[in-house]
Amino acid sequence: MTCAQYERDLALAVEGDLEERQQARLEQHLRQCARCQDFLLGLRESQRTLKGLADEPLEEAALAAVRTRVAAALHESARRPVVVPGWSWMIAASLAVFALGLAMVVSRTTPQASRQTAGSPSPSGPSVASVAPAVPVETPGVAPTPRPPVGGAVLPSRRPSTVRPAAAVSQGMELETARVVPGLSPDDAEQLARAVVAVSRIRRVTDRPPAPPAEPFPPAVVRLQTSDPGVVIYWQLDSSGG
Amino acid sequence: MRAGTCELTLTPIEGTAGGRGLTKPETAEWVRRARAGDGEAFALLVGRYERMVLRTAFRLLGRMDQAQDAAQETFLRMHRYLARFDESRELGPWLYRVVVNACRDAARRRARAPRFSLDEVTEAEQVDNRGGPEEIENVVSLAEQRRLVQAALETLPDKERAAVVLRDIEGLPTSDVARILGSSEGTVRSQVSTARLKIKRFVDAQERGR
Repeated sequence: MTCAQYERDLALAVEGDLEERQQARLEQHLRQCARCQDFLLGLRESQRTLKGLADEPLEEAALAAVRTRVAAALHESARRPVVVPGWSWMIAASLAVFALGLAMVVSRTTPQASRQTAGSPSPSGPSVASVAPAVPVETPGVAPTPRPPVGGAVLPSRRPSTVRPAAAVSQGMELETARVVPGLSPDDAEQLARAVVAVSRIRRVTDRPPAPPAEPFPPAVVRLQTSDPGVVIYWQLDSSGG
Repeated sequence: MRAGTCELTLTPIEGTAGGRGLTKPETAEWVRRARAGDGEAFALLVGRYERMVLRTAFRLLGRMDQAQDAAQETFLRMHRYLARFDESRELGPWLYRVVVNACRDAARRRARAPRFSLDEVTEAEQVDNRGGPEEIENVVSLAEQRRLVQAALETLPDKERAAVVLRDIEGLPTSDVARILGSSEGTVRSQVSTARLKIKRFVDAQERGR
């Protein structure tokens, strides 16, 4: 190695940054090279000055100025109102419109049965098994004949006084609108159960497709004549199958 | 931490200026409080690190006015990004990185403007007239040496200057310098070695030219 090549090692060794193996080789060279010894002395001098820069005092005024400017900048940023860019308002409005549209679509496609919980009559029409007035009121333009049950209905066993249609339909059909109708004869109860099964099947059929709003299910009325001529049960089926 | 959650009064806090008066756990506690929006804790941290930040910025930029700008930017970034700081680590190295980046940004902005003027005087050049002629001569000589070394620093490429400032003036270990600058220890050693040689040659050349 030449002296010029040792200079890089000297520049590291002057602050103890040289690895041990290289340090030993450098020391061996230094013992026999006066030029490199002079170079090392010069390096020590410049390094002493360089490191001495850390001891130079900083003016207190310069530090105070920094403090003041930092405090002022933070104070200013605290006072400044948060500026929301214009495009963010457009995005927010778009999201709101989308959410509103989504909510409307969901409310249209959801079967009314989900809104009509047991024991809470639908505000838009007569509930199942509600007792109709003595003179039947039929919806104009709607055939009063009940829809025939779609085959395969499992009927409940006869029970003497009351019938729980929801329990009667034991194959996973959900009849949230069914109610206990007190005072029905066994025959009436059976008819009611059949009607419930039929309606629930119709509802299941209407529930199966995603129910496109373009082709709503036509409204229908199920009329159930009990053994008491004064008691007629109407079951109105709206376009959503509820 | 959100800006503006507290009123800040950045007055120096007794016993904490220049990095004195706070142990490492105490610093961690003040960092936690500052992150929670405690203005007093933030002011104390500024007092704790202001000398280190301004000194480093001045050595990297060479001008006190630009160093003050960079120091201000450093503390504003500290305020802005303290929430991201890992409390288990030391604040000092993180702040060194912030100040180096702030100085780098400042250097980019001023784009090749001269960073050093022979007309400038540093604090060390302000001679105390109470001393005798020999003392004055020594002070001037020391001031001149430092001015030359500072001028030599100005001639270095940014990475070499940052490496040698952190290693030799700030006295950080090579491993810390590597972490702060985002490079390897070998690279830092090479940069430091080259920078020391350049500084020596610059000073030698200036003295020979007189």
